[in-house]
Amino acid sequence: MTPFSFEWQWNVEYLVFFGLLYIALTIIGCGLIYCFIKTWLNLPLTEEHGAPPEISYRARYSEY
Amino acid sequence: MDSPLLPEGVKRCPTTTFFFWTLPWLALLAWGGLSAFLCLWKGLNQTNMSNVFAFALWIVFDLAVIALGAGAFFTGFLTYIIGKGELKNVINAAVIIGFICYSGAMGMLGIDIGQPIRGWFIFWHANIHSMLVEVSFCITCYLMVLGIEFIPLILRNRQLDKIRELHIFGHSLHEIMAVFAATGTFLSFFHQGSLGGMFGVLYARPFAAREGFYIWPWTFFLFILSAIAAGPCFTILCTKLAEKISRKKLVPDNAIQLLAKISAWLLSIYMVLKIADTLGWIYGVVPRAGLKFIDFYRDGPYGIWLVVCEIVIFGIIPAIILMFPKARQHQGWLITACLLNCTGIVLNRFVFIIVTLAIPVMPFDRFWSYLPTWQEWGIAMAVIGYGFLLFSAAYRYLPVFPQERELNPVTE
Repeated sequence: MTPFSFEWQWNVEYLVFFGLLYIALTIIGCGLIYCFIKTWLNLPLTEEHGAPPEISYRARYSEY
Repeated sequence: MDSPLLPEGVKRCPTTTFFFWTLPWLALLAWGGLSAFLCLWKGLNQTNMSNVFAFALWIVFDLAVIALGAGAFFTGFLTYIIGKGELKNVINAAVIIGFICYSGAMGMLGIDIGQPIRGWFIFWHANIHSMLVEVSFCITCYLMVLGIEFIPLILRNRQLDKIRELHIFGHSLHEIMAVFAATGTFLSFFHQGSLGGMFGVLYARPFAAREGFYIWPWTFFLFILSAIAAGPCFTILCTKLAEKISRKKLVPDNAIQLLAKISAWLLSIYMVLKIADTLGWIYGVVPRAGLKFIDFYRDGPYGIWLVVCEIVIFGIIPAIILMFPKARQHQGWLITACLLNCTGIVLNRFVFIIVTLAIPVMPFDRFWSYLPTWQEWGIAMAVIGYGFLLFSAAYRYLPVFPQERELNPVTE
Protein backbone atom coordinates (compact mmCIF):
# COMPACT_ATOMS: atom_id res chain seq x y z
CA MET A 1 0.00 0.00 0.00
CA THR A 2 1.21 3.49 -0.83
CA PRO A 3 -0.46 6.79 0.02
CA PHE A 4 -1.95 6.72 -3.48
CA SER A 5 -2.95 3.08 -3.96
CA PHE A 6 -4.80 1.06 -1.41
CA GLU A 7 -4.23 -2.24 -3.24
CA TRP A 8 -0.55 -1.66 -4.04
CA GLN A 9 1.43 -4.80 -4.95
CA TRP A 10 5.17 -5.03 -5.44
CA ASN A 11 5.28 -6.23 -9.04
CA VAL A 12 6.37 -4.87 -12.42
CA GLU A 13 2.90 -3.91 -13.56
CA TYR A 14 2.26 -1.69 -10.55
CA LEU A 15 5.76 -0.25 -10.71
CA VAL A 16 5.42 0.71 -14.40
CA PHE A 17 1.88 2.07 -14.12
CA PHE A 18 2.34 4.08 -10.95
CA GLY A 19 5.99 4.81 -11.75
CA LEU A 20 5.00 6.74 -14.88
CA LEU A 21 2.23 8.52 -12.99
CA TYR A 22 4.58 9.55 -10.19
CA ILE A 23 7.20 10.71 -12.72
CA ALA A 24 4.60 12.93 -14.41
CA LEU A 25 3.36 14.29 -11.07
CA THR A 26 6.94 14.84 -9.86
CA ILE A 27 7.82 16.83 -13.00
CA ILE A 28 4.68 18.97 -12.62
CA GLY A 29 5.30 19.48 -8.89
CA CYS A 30 9.02 20.24 -9.27
CA GLY A 31 8.29 22.63 -12.14
CA LEU A 32 5.83 24.58 -10.00
CA ILE A 33 8.16 24.59 -6.97
CA TYR A 34 10.99 25.85 -9.22
CA CYS A 35 8.77 28.70 -10.44
CA PHE A 36 7.69 29.63 -6.91
CA ILE A 37 11.30 29.67 -5.67
CA LYS A 38 12.51 31.59 -8.72
CA THR A 39 9.76 34.17 -8.24
CA TRP A 40 10.68 34.52 -4.58
CA LEU A 41 14.39 34.92 -5.41
CA ASN A 42 13.73 37.40 -8.23
CA LEU A 43 11.44 39.65 -6.23
CA PRO A 44 14.19 41.61 -4.39
CA LEU A 45 16.17 41.91 -7.67
CA THR A 46 13.26 43.49 -9.52
CA GLU A 47 12.82 46.00 -6.68
CA GLU A 48 16.26 47.30 -7.59
CA HIS A 49 16.15 46.93 -11.37
CA GLY A 50 12.42 47.17 -12.16
CA ALA A 51 10.36 44.49 -13.91
CA PRO A 52 12.17 41.50 -15.49
CA PRO A 53 12.98 41.84 -19.18
CA GLU A 54 10.27 40.83 -21.61
CA ILE A 55 10.33 37.15 -22.55
CA SER A 56 12.52 36.98 -25.62
CA TYR A 57 10.11 35.33 -28.01
CA ARG A 58 7.25 37.59 -26.94
CA ALA A 59 9.38 40.59 -27.85
CA ARG A 60 10.13 39.13 -31.28
CA TYR A 61 6.59 38.33 -32.42
CA SER A 62 6.78 40.74 -35.31
CA GLU A 63 9.70 38.78 -36.76
CA TYR A 64 7.65 35.65 -37.37
CA MET B 1 -17.19 49.78 -17.84
CA ASP B 2 -14.57 47.02 -17.95
CA SER B 3 -12.07 48.95 -20.09
CA PRO B 4 -9.28 48.88 -17.43
CA LEU B 5 -9.29 45.09 -17.80
CA LEU B 6 -9.01 45.01 -21.60
CA PRO B 7 -5.61 44.43 -23.23
CA GLU B 8 -3.78 47.55 -24.31
CA GLY B 9 -3.81 48.70 -27.93
CA VAL B 10 -6.68 46.51 -29.11
CA LYS B 11 -10.33 47.23 -29.76
CA ARG B 12 -13.15 45.33 -28.04
CA CYS B 13 -16.94 45.60 -28.31
CA PRO B 14 -18.88 47.60 -25.67
CA THR B 15 -19.71 45.84 -22.40
CA THR B 16 -23.45 45.70 -23.19
CA THR B 17 -22.80 44.00 -26.55
CA PHE B 18 -20.54 41.50 -24.81
CA PHE B 19 -23.23 40.90 -22.18
CA PHE B 20 -25.86 40.11 -24.84
CA TRP B 21 -23.35 37.85 -26.65
CA THR B 22 -22.94 35.78 -23.49
CA LEU B 23 -26.70 35.28 -22.93
CA PRO B 24 -27.22 32.25 -25.24
CA TRP B 25 -24.18 30.53 -23.76
CA LEU B 26 -25.37 31.29 -20.24
CA ALA B 27 -28.74 29.77 -21.23
CA LEU B 28 -26.96 26.58 -22.35
CA LEU B 29 -25.09 26.53 -19.05
CA ALA B 30 -28.35 26.95 -17.13
CA TRP B 31 -29.88 24.04 -19.10
CA GLY B 32 -26.82 21.95 -18.23
CA GLY B 33 -26.96 23.05 -14.59
CA LEU B 34 -30.59 21.96 -14.29
CA SER B 35 -29.81 18.63 -16.00
CA ALA B 36 -26.82 18.03 -13.73
CA PHE B 37 -28.90 18.84 -10.66
CA LEU B 38 -31.58 16.34 -11.72
CA CYS B 39 -28.98 13.63 -12.48
CA LEU B 40 -27.27 14.12 -9.13
CA TRP B 41 -30.48 14.43 -7.17
CA LYS B 42 -32.62 11.73 -8.80
CA GLY B 43 -29.89 9.58 -10.33
CA LEU B 44 -28.98 8.30 -13.78
CA ASN B 45 -32.59 7.26 -14.40
CA GLN B 46 -32.82 10.78 -15.83
CA THR B 47 -30.91 9.43 -18.83
CA ASN B 48 -31.67 6.79 -21.43
CA MET B 49 -28.52 4.89 -20.52
CA SER B 50 -29.08 1.24 -19.72
CA ASN B 51 -27.18 -2.00 -19.22
CA VAL B 52 -26.77 -2.05 -23.02
CA PHE B 53 -25.86 1.61 -23.40
CA ALA B 54 -23.58 2.11 -20.41
CA PHE B 55 -21.59 4.31 -22.79
CA ALA B 56 -23.85 6.88 -24.38
CA LEU B 57 -24.00 10.49 -25.55
CA TRP B 58 -21.68 11.79 -22.81
CA ILE B 59 -18.93 9.32 -23.69
CA VAL B 60 -19.26 10.15 -27.40
CA PHE B 61 -18.96 13.83 -26.48
CA ASP B 62 -16.05 13.11 -24.14
CA LEU B 63 -14.11 11.18 -26.74
CA ALA B 64 -14.89 13.77 -29.41
CA VAL B 65 -13.92 16.85 -27.37
CA ILE B 66 -10.78 15.15 -26.07
CA ALA B 67 -9.75 14.38 -29.65
CA LEU B 68 -10.61 17.90 -30.83
CA GLY B 69 -8.71 19.34 -27.87
CA ALA B 70 -5.59 17.47 -28.99
CA GLY B 71 -4.58 20.64 -30.82
CA ALA B 72 -3.31 21.95 -27.46
CA PHE B 73 -0.74 19.25 -26.78
CA PHE B 74 0.25 18.87 -30.40
CA THR B 75 0.67 22.60 -31.00
CA GLY B 76 2.58 22.82 -27.70
CA PHE B 77 4.81 19.97 -28.83
CA LEU B 78 5.47 21.64 -32.20
CA THR B 79 6.05 25.05 -30.62
CA TYR B 80 8.15 24.27 -27.56
CA ILE B 81 9.82 20.96 -28.43
CA ILE B 82 10.20 21.04 -32.23
CA GLY B 83 10.66 24.83 -32.25
CA LYS B 84 8.10 25.91 -34.85
CA GLY B 85 8.21 29.64 -34.10
CA GLU B 86 5.23 30.56 -36.29
CA LEU B 87 2.90 28.62 -34.00
CA LYS B 88 3.60 30.95 -31.06
CA ASN B 89 0.89 33.13 -32.62
CA VAL B 90 -1.71 30.43 -32.13
CA ILE B 91 -0.45 28.48 -29.09
CA ASN B 92 -2.47 30.56 -26.58
CA ALA B 93 -5.70 29.87 -28.44
CA ALA B 94 -4.80 26.17 -28.71
CA VAL B 95 -4.17 25.98 -24.95
CA ILE B 96 -7.49 27.66 -24.13
CA ILE B 97 -9.36 25.32 -26.51
CA GLY B 98 -7.59 22.33 -24.95
CA PHE B 99 -8.40 23.54 -21.44
CA ILE B 100 -12.07 24.01 -22.38
CA CYS B 101 -12.27 20.56 -23.99
CA TYR B 102 -10.58 18.69 -21.14
CA SER B 103 -12.26 20.52 -18.26
CA GLY B 104 -15.61 20.15 -20.06
CA ALA B 105 -15.01 16.43 -20.51
CA MET B 106 -14.03 16.05 -16.86
CA GLY B 107 -17.17 17.90 -15.75
CA MET B 108 -19.32 15.66 -17.94
CA LEU B 109 -17.60 12.54 -16.58
CA GLY B 110 -18.32 13.81 -13.06
CA ILE B 111 -22.04 13.50 -13.82
CA ASP B 112 -21.62 10.32 -15.88
CA ILE B 113 -20.15 8.31 -13.01
CA GLY B 114 -23.37 8.85 -11.10
CA GLN B 115 -21.77 9.49 -7.71
CA PRO B 116 -19.12 12.20 -8.15
CA ILE B 117 -18.28 12.14 -4.45
CA ARG B 118 -16.83 8.69 -5.08
CA GLY B 119 -14.88 9.85 -8.13
CA TRP B 120 -11.62 9.51 -6.23
CA PHE B 121 -12.14 5.72 -6.01
CA ILE B 122 -10.65 5.41 -9.49
CA PHE B 123 -7.35 6.78 -8.15
CA TRP B 124 -7.37 5.05 -4.78
CA HIS B 125 -8.57 1.64 -5.99
CA ALA B 126 -6.81 1.77 -9.35
CA ASN B 127 -7.24 -1.26 -11.61
CA ILE B 128 -3.90 -1.02 -13.35
CA HIS B 129 -4.99 -3.40 -16.13
CA SER B 130 -7.73 -1.05 -17.24
CA MET B 131 -7.12 1.28 -20.18
CA LEU B 132 -9.79 3.59 -18.78
CA VAL B 133 -7.95 3.94 -15.47
CA GLU B 134 -4.89 5.05 -17.43
CA VAL B 135 -7.11 7.50 -19.31
CA SER B 136 -8.48 8.87 -16.02
CA PHE B 137 -4.98 9.30 -14.57
CA CYS B 138 -3.65 10.93 -17.73
CA ILE B 139 -6.52 13.35 -18.34
CA THR B 140 -6.44 14.46 -14.70
CA CYS B 141 -2.70 15.12 -14.86
CA TYR B 142 -2.99 16.69 -18.31
CA LEU B 143 -5.73 19.04 -17.11
CA MET B 144 -3.25 20.20 -14.44
CA VAL B 145 -0.66 20.78 -17.18
CA LEU B 146 -3.19 22.72 -19.28
CA GLY B 147 -4.05 24.80 -16.22
CA ILE B 148 -0.35 25.57 -15.75
CA GLU B 149 -0.03 26.48 -19.44
CA PHE B 150 -3.10 28.74 -19.13
CA ILE B 151 -1.91 30.55 -15.96
CA PRO B 152 0.80 32.74 -17.60
CA LEU B 153 -1.78 33.97 -20.11
CA ILE B 154 -4.27 34.82 -17.33
CA LEU B 155 -1.48 36.65 -15.48
CA ARG B 156 -0.92 38.76 -18.62
CA ASN B 157 -4.26 40.48 -17.96
CA ARG B 158 -3.66 44.21 -17.80
CA GLN B 159 -4.50 44.56 -14.11
CA LEU B 160 -2.96 41.28 -12.91
CA ASP B 161 0.23 42.06 -14.80
CA LYS B 162 0.68 45.16 -12.63
CA ILE B 163 1.15 42.95 -9.55
CA ARG B 164 4.90 42.38 -9.46
CA GLU B 165 4.76 38.93 -7.85
CA LEU B 166 2.29 37.62 -10.41
CA HIS B 167 4.22 39.18 -13.28
CA ILE B 168 7.43 37.45 -12.23
CA PHE B 169 5.62 34.17 -11.53
CA GLY B 170 4.06 34.18 -15.00
CA HIS B 171 7.48 34.96 -16.44
CA SER B 172 9.06 32.06 -14.52
CA LEU B 173 6.37 29.66 -15.74
CA HIS B 174 6.96 30.77 -19.31
CA GLU B 175 10.67 30.09 -19.06
CA ILE B 176 10.18 26.40 -18.33
CA MET B 177 7.04 25.92 -20.42
CA ALA B 178 8.89 23.41 -22.61
CA VAL B 179 9.07 21.04 -19.61
CA PHE B 180 5.31 21.25 -19.07
CA ALA B 181 4.67 20.93 -22.81
CA ALA B 182 6.79 17.75 -22.93
CA THR B 183 4.93 16.29 -19.94
CA GLY B 184 1.63 17.20 -21.57
CA THR B 185 2.69 15.51 -24.80
CA PHE B 186 3.59 12.32 -22.94
CA LEU B 187 0.29 12.29 -20.99
CA SER B 188 -1.83 13.16 -24.02
CA PHE B 189 -0.16 10.62 -26.26
CA PHE B 190 -1.02 7.83 -23.83
CA HIS B 191 -4.56 8.77 -22.98
CA GLN B 192 -5.54 9.43 -26.60
CA GLY B 193 -4.16 5.98 -27.38
CA SER B 194 -5.70 4.27 -24.38
CA LEU B 195 -9.15 5.49 -25.38
CA GLY B 196 -8.66 3.47 -28.56
CA GLY B 197 -6.89 0.72 -26.64
CA MET B 198 -10.15 -0.13 -24.92
CA PHE B 199 -11.38 -1.84 -28.11
CA GLY B 200 -8.61 -4.41 -27.83
CA VAL B 201 -10.54 -6.14 -25.06
CA LEU B 202 -14.03 -5.92 -26.56
CA TYR B 203 -13.92 -9.53 -27.77
CA ALA B 204 -17.70 -9.84 -27.47
CA ARG B 205 -18.22 -6.89 -29.82
CA PRO B 206 -16.59 -7.87 -33.11
CA PHE B 207 -17.83 -4.64 -34.72
CA ALA B 208 -15.28 -2.67 -32.69
CA ALA B 209 -12.83 -5.34 -31.52
CA ARG B 210 -9.34 -5.07 -32.97
CA GLU B 211 -6.10 -6.97 -32.75
CA GLY B 212 -2.74 -5.28 -32.65
CA PHE B 213 0.75 -5.19 -31.26
CA TYR B 214 1.42 -6.59 -27.74
CA ILE B 215 -1.25 -5.03 -25.45
CA TRP B 216 -2.06 -2.25 -27.92
CA PRO B 217 -4.75 -2.87 -30.57
CA TRP B 218 -4.47 -0.96 -33.86
CA THR B 219 -7.15 1.43 -32.60
CA PHE B 220 -4.64 2.62 -29.96
CA PHE B 221 -2.45 4.08 -32.71
CA LEU B 222 -5.39 5.16 -34.89
CA PHE B 223 -6.93 7.17 -32.05
CA ILE B 224 -3.66 9.04 -31.48
CA LEU B 225 -3.21 9.74 -35.18
CA SER B 226 -6.81 10.84 -35.73
CA ALA B 227 -6.64 13.16 -32.70
CA ILE B 228 -3.43 14.89 -33.79
CA ALA B 229 -4.82 15.16 -37.33
CA ALA B 230 -8.12 16.74 -36.23
CA GLY B 231 -6.90 18.78 -33.23
CA PRO B 232 -5.00 21.40 -35.30
CA CYS B 233 -8.00 21.67 -37.67
CA PHE B 234 -10.26 22.41 -34.70
CA THR B 235 -7.83 25.10 -33.55
CA ILE B 236 -7.95 26.60 -37.06
CA LEU B 237 -11.76 26.51 -37.03
CA CYS B 238 -12.00 28.23 -33.62
CA THR B 239 -9.49 30.88 -34.69
CA LYS B 240 -11.36 31.51 -37.94
CA LEU B 241 -14.65 31.73 -36.03
CA ALA B 242 -13.08 34.27 -33.64
CA GLU B 243 -11.83 36.26 -36.65
CA LYS B 244 -15.26 36.15 -38.28
CA ILE B 245 -17.08 37.27 -35.13
CA SER B 246 -14.57 39.95 -34.17
CA ARG B 247 -14.18 41.02 -37.84
CA LYS B 248 -10.41 41.15 -37.40
CA LYS B 249 -7.38 39.24 -38.55
CA LEU B 250 -5.98 37.61 -35.44
CA VAL B 251 -3.42 35.10 -36.64
CA PRO B 252 -0.96 35.49 -39.53
CA ASP B 253 -1.58 33.17 -42.48
CA ASN B 254 1.77 31.39 -42.13
CA ALA B 255 0.76 29.94 -38.73
CA ILE B 256 -2.61 28.73 -40.04
CA GLN B 257 -1.02 27.32 -43.21
CA LEU B 258 1.61 25.44 -41.21
CA LEU B 259 -1.06 23.88 -38.98
CA ALA B 260 -3.14 22.97 -42.04
CA LYS B 261 -0.13 21.42 -43.79
CA ILE B 262 0.80 19.33 -40.75
CA SER B 263 -2.82 18.28 -40.37
CA ALA B 264 -2.93 17.30 -44.07
CA TRP B 265 0.00 14.92 -43.74
CA LEU B 266 -1.25 13.41 -40.49
CA LEU B 267 -4.77 12.97 -41.87
CA SER B 268 -3.40 11.33 -45.02
CA ILE B 269 -1.30 8.87 -43.01
CA TYR B 270 -4.28 8.22 -40.76
CA MET B 271 -6.55 7.52 -43.74
CA VAL B 272 -4.09 5.03 -45.24
CA LEU B 273 -3.86 3.19 -41.91
CA LYS B 274 -7.61 3.47 -41.29
CA ILE B 275 -8.36 1.88 -44.68
CA ALA B 276 -5.81 -0.87 -43.95
CA ASP B 277 -7.39 -1.40 -40.53
CA THR B 278 -10.89 -1.57 -42.05
CA LEU B 279 -9.74 -4.15 -44.64
CA GLY B 280 -7.98 -6.14 -41.92
CA TRP B 281 -11.17 -6.06 -39.89
CA ILE B 282 -13.36 -7.12 -42.86
CA TYR B 283 -11.12 -10.04 -43.80
CA GLY B 284 -9.80 -10.93 -40.35
CA VAL B 285 -11.79 -10.11 -37.21
CA VAL B 286 -15.25 -10.40 -38.80
CA PRO B 287 -14.92 -13.88 -40.44
CA ARG B 288 -13.24 -15.24 -37.32
CA ALA B 289 -16.29 -14.11 -35.31
CA GLY B 290 -18.46 -16.17 -37.70
CA LEU B 291 -19.97 -13.06 -39.29
CA LYS B 292 -19.93 -11.21 -42.58
CA PHE B 293 -19.15 -7.52 -43.10
CA ILE B 294 -22.70 -6.84 -44.30
CA ASP B 295 -24.19 -8.39 -41.13
CA PHE B 296 -23.29 -5.23 -39.21
CA TYR B 297 -25.16 -2.91 -41.54
CA ARG B 298 -28.53 -4.71 -41.88
CA ASP B 299 -30.47 -3.36 -38.91
CA GLY B 300 -31.45 0.09 -37.82
CA PRO B 301 -30.38 3.30 -39.49
CA TYR B 302 -26.69 2.42 -39.64
CA GLY B 303 -25.92 1.24 -43.17
CA ILE B 304 -22.87 1.07 -45.41
CA TRP B 305 -23.25 4.85 -45.74
CA LEU B 306 -21.53 5.14 -42.35
CA VAL B 307 -18.33 3.60 -43.74
CA VAL B 308 -18.52 5.76 -46.88
CA CYS B 309 -19.04 8.92 -44.81
CA GLU B 310 -16.28 8.15 -42.31
CA ILE B 311 -13.63 7.13 -44.81
CA VAL B 312 -14.44 9.00 -48.01
CA ILE B 313 -16.42 12.17 -47.24
CA PHE B 314 -14.94 13.02 -43.83
CA GLY B 315 -11.53 11.46 -44.41
CA ILE B 316 -10.14 11.24 -47.92
CA ILE B 317 -11.79 14.44 -49.21
CA PRO B 318 -10.46 16.78 -46.45
CA ALA B 319 -7.06 15.09 -46.71
CA ILE B 320 -6.93 15.86 -50.45
CA ILE B 321 -8.11 19.47 -49.95
CA LEU B 322 -5.55 20.12 -47.20
CA MET B 323 -2.77 18.42 -49.12
CA PHE B 324 -2.85 20.89 -52.04
CA PRO B 325 -1.28 24.26 -51.10
CA LYS B 326 -3.56 26.20 -53.47
CA ALA B 327 -6.67 24.59 -52.01
CA ARG B 328 -5.70 25.13 -48.38
CA GLN B 329 -4.72 28.74 -49.08
CA HIS B 330 -8.28 29.37 -50.22
CA GLN B 331 -10.28 30.43 -47.15
CA GLY B 332 -13.47 28.58 -48.14
CA TRP B 333 -11.75 25.31 -48.94
CA LEU B 334 -9.63 25.48 -45.80
CA ILE B 335 -12.69 25.91 -43.57
CA THR B 336 -14.60 23.20 -45.47
CA ALA B 337 -11.71 20.76 -45.08
CA CYS B 338 -11.32 21.55 -41.36
CA LEU B 339 -15.08 21.14 -40.82
CA LEU B 340 -15.09 17.79 -42.65
CA ASN B 341 -12.05 16.59 -40.71
CA CYS B 342 -13.55 17.53 -37.33
CA THR B 343 -16.93 16.01 -38.28
CA GLY B 344 -15.09 12.85 -39.29
CA ILE B 345 -13.49 12.42 -35.89
CA VAL B 346 -16.82 12.98 -34.10
CA LEU B 347 -18.43 10.40 -36.41
CA ASN B 348 -15.57 7.98 -35.75
CA ARG B 349 -16.06 8.23 -31.99
CA PHE B 350 -19.84 7.91 -32.43
CA VAL B 351 -19.42 4.73 -34.50
CA PHE B 352 -17.02 3.21 -31.99
CA ILE B 353 -19.32 3.91 -29.04
CA ILE B 354 -22.99 4.00 -30.04
CA VAL B 355 -23.06 1.87 -33.20
CA THR B 356 -20.88 -0.75 -31.51
CA LEU B 357 -23.41 -1.13 -28.70
CA ALA B 358 -26.50 -0.93 -30.92
CA ILE B 359 -25.60 -3.67 -33.40
CA PRO B 360 -26.71 -7.21 -32.49
CA VAL B 361 -23.94 -9.76 -32.08
CA MET B 362 -25.63 -13.08 -31.35
CA PRO B 363 -28.35 -14.61 -33.59
CA PHE B 364 -30.93 -14.09 -30.82
CA ASP B 365 -29.89 -10.47 -30.24
CA ARG B 366 -31.93 -7.56 -31.53
CA PHE B 367 -30.94 -4.09 -32.67
CA TRP B 368 -30.90 -1.68 -29.73
CA SER B 369 -31.89 1.90 -30.33
CA TYR B 370 -30.88 4.78 -28.12
CA LEU B 371 -31.98 8.40 -28.05
CA PRO B 372 -30.58 10.74 -25.41
CA THR B 373 -32.96 12.48 -23.00
CA TRP B 374 -33.11 16.28 -22.74
CA GLN B 375 -31.02 15.99 -19.56
CA GLU B 376 -28.25 14.20 -21.47
CA TRP B 377 -28.37 16.82 -24.21
CA GLY B 378 -28.41 19.55 -21.56
CA ILE B 379 -25.12 18.45 -20.04
CA ALA B 380 -23.50 18.00 -23.45
CA MET B 381 -24.71 21.44 -24.62
CA ALA B 382 -23.44 23.01 -21.38
CA VAL B 383 -19.92 22.10 -22.45
CA ILE B 384 -20.45 24.06 -25.67
CA GLY B 385 -21.87 27.02 -23.72
CA TYR B 386 -18.98 26.88 -21.27
CA GLY B 387 -16.52 26.75 -24.15
CA PHE B 388 -17.96 29.80 -25.88
CA LEU B 389 -18.10 31.73 -22.59
CA LEU B 390 -14.54 30.94 -21.54
CA PHE B 391 -13.05 31.57 -24.97
CA SER B 392 -15.01 34.84 -25.33
CA ALA B 393 -13.92 36.03 -21.88
CA ALA B 394 -10.32 35.03 -22.59
CA TYR B 395 -10.36 36.88 -25.92
CA ARG B 396 -11.88 39.97 -24.32
CA TYR B 397 -9.63 40.23 -21.28
CA LEU B 398 -6.37 38.51 -22.22
CA PRO B 399 -3.81 38.96 -24.99
CA VAL B 400 -4.73 35.62 -26.58
CA PHE B 401 -3.48 36.53 -30.05
CA PRO B 402 -0.06 38.17 -29.64
CA GLN B 403 -0.03 39.72 -33.11
CA GLU B 404 -3.51 41.18 -32.91
CA ARG B 405 -2.12 44.65 -32.29
CA GLU B 406 0.21 44.55 -35.30
CA LEU B 407 -2.41 43.05 -37.57
CA ASN B 408 -5.15 45.50 -36.53
CA PRO B 409 -3.64 48.88 -35.66
CA VAL B 410 -6.15 51.00 -33.73
CA THR B 411 -6.73 54.38 -35.38
CA GLU B 412 -7.90 56.96 -32.86
